[in-house]
Amino acid sequence: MGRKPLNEMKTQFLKWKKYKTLLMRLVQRDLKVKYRRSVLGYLWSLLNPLLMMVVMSVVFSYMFRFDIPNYPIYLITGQIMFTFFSESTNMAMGSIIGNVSLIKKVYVPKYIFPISRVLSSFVTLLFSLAAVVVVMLATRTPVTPVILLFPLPLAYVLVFSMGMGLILSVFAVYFRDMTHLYGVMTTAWMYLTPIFYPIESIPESVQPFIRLNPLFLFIDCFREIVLYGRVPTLQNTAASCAWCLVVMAVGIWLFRKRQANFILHI
Amino acid sequence: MNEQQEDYIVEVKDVSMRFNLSKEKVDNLKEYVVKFLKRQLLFDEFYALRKVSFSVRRGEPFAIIGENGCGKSTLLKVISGIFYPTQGSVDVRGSVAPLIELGAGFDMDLTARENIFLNGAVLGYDTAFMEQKFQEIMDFAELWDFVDVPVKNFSSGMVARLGFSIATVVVPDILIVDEILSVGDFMFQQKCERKMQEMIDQGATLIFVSHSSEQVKRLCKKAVWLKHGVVQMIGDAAEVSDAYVHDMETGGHGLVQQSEADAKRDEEEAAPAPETKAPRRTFPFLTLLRAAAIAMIVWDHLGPFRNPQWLPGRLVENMINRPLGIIQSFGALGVILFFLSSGFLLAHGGGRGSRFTYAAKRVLKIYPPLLLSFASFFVVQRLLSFITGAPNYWSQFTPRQWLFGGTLLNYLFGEPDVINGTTWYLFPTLLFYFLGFLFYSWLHEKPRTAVFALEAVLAACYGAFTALNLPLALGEVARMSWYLVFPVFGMLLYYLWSGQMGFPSFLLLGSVNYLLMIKGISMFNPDYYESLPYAVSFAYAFLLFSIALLLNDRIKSFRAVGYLAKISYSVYVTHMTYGSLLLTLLAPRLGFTVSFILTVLSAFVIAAVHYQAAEKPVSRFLRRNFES
Repeated sequence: MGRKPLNEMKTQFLKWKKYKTLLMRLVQRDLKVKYRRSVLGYLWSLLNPLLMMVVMSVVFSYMFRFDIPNYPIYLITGQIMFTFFSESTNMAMGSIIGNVSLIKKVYVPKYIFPISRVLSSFVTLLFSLAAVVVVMLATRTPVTPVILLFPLPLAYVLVFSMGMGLILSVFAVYFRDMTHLYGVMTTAWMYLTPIFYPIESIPESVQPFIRLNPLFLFIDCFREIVLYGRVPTLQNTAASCAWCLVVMAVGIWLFRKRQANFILHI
Repeated sequence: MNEQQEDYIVEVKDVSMRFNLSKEKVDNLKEYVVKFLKRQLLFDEFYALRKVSFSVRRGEPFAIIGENGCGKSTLLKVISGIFYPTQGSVDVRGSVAPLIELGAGFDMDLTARENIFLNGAVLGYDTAFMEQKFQEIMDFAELWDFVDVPVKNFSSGMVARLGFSIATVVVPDILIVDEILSVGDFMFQQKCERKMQEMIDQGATLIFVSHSSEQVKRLCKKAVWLKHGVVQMIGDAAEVSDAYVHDMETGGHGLVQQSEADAKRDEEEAAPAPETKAPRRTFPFLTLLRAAAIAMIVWDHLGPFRNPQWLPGRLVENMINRPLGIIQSFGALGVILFFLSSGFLLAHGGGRGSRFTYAAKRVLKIYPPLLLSFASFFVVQRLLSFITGAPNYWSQFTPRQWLFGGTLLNYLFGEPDVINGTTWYLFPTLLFYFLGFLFYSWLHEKPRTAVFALEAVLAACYGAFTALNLPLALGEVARMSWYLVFPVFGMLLYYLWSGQMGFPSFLLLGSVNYLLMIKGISMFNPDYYESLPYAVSFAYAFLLFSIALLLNDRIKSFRAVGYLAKISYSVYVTHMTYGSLLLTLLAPRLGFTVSFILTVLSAFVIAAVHYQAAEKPVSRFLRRNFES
């Protein structure tokens, strides 16, 4: 009995080693298929957030005014994080259903599918960082050494999205309505996250809830580092890590428990 | 012996594979909900394989034969790890190259070159290796002219050729071949068969599926014959395939038939059915304790709590409670006894059956009596104040307060329950049941993990309360969370008593729980730490509970005590409101002692009426729908 977990870990590790090429291939394939036949290709990963930011900052600077200094950066930092989250979880959700043909015919560790989808979105996010740099240069945002901490919030949102992706992919198999429901949910989630408005503009009584919103925590951390040049608070770090750990743990547990029966339901 | 075992490269033991064919028809919503809760929606079952066992020796070509739909392909998929068998196990010692459906895993939008690398990765080969073999694969597939053409433009024969070339690039330990050789032109079929022979010569063990006895006899030494998922015959390839052909010619009745009933029975013997019930045990000691607990609570709330000057109350207070350090005139002791028994019962019955059934039961047991007690009292006090023409204590409350009180929502908004005054106990209880729902499957199988998880959640609640600026509702949850240590103690006692947990684990987890209790008291209710020591009442309750548990077999329950225990929840939710109302009416006229006696008696009668109206129908509904 004592030897079992160790053996299990060993086989898992060997499996991972064997299939990490597949993971990379799948990520590559997603990226290739995404921009196939478009003239600008990968450049879109950079242009998309830039153009969106331009549209939104025009809308929110002239029509609905918020008093936020350096609004373009404020907007683009929130926006690329949220776009990554919603895109990656959406793609991960369909990953098991979408790879039926493979799952039904060859043995492959199934977690590869949601994880690869999240990773390929993450690559897009990394490209989008270039857009942030462009905006930072254009707006002459002061750069401090704190900026070296920027991978931290990215790691949060990556782990969190992977966990959510695992959970959603399981849900989508057993409860197909989820795919339709989730679009509505992400929209609601987006408006509940201070992406284009400041948190102070929400009523005082609701603010504590918004402050527990994991995406707000991650975005806030990212903004503290990039925009304000401050080290994220201990509270933010603790809460972010807790969210990541809990969601990832639930995701792994749920996925492991359910994966054996996927094939009977898809 | 050991060597003999090593010699088997594939061992299939008692494998059954069950599919759910379609969803059962459900006529109405109630049935749907009940079925959903019981997890019986997917019901129409079909066995593709039934208790199939055989072994394949290393280097001995093996065939699986049978007509269409006999379970051959399912069996191959079980061996190659695509299906997890419903029962039984498969041991495979070595690498498997499944030539089951060639071209599975091709992305039609990618080119042949890209697909070779992708498909190689699906089979677990890394990029460097595939680059090395690229030439060889393309040579064998003879598709050099199409290397950069998207696969969607290929013919099915070309796809199969490419798939075959990739799958056979390495000599595997086990080569699984479904009837694929019918794809592609004649030349290529010949080539494939030569390649397979080559691999067999190099040491691969062939597992071959076919309904052509010619091929089987040519390629294989041993064979198994399947019909309707049941093994008909295992043995020499020639003999088995002759028997198979003979059977086909004479009408195809098969040799072995396993009736549905047999299979069902076997299955039930083999594995415990998921819905196993908790062993029927009765706990007379719990009945006794529940009755005692509700008596204590009623005594406290309607006696000394209402009138501290009352002589009998003072006597008990001065002779027993004060010197022994029992707080709240037994009130706290009674509540802790309730908590302990909730934990004890959850540990006893939890973890078996569906967690949704469990959740539905708990909610249905708690809410209807609570709602009824608020509704009936609302009517009664309104009527009374209408008759007497004078407003009473309850006239001041708004509809919102009544609604929130009756649904416990007030706790989420940080408001105390001003109407009933006793419902606070239900909030941590619900929280406890909710966590029980989350960790349901551990309750029976991994008691230590379950208790540890509960304690971890409590610790997390404390931590979040201190470190984070929690919004109202969550803050309230965290603030009330410490009461959960009591049901956790009840769980620990059950696990120790039933032998599911050893003494060291009990001591360790118990100590952690004790620390959580002390920390919780000092953090959330500093009063209870020193001036009103809650932990002392806990100690008495714990001792009382343990002693009663040990004496369980000797305790005989009286009917009156049993009935009191049965209606104890109804007494709990009604005694405070109705009792206070009656006392304020009677005490000025009859004196406190007489009105106390009358009030207590009527409180029990009122509770009995509520029990008949709410709890009884609910438990009948539960028995009918969930316990058949």
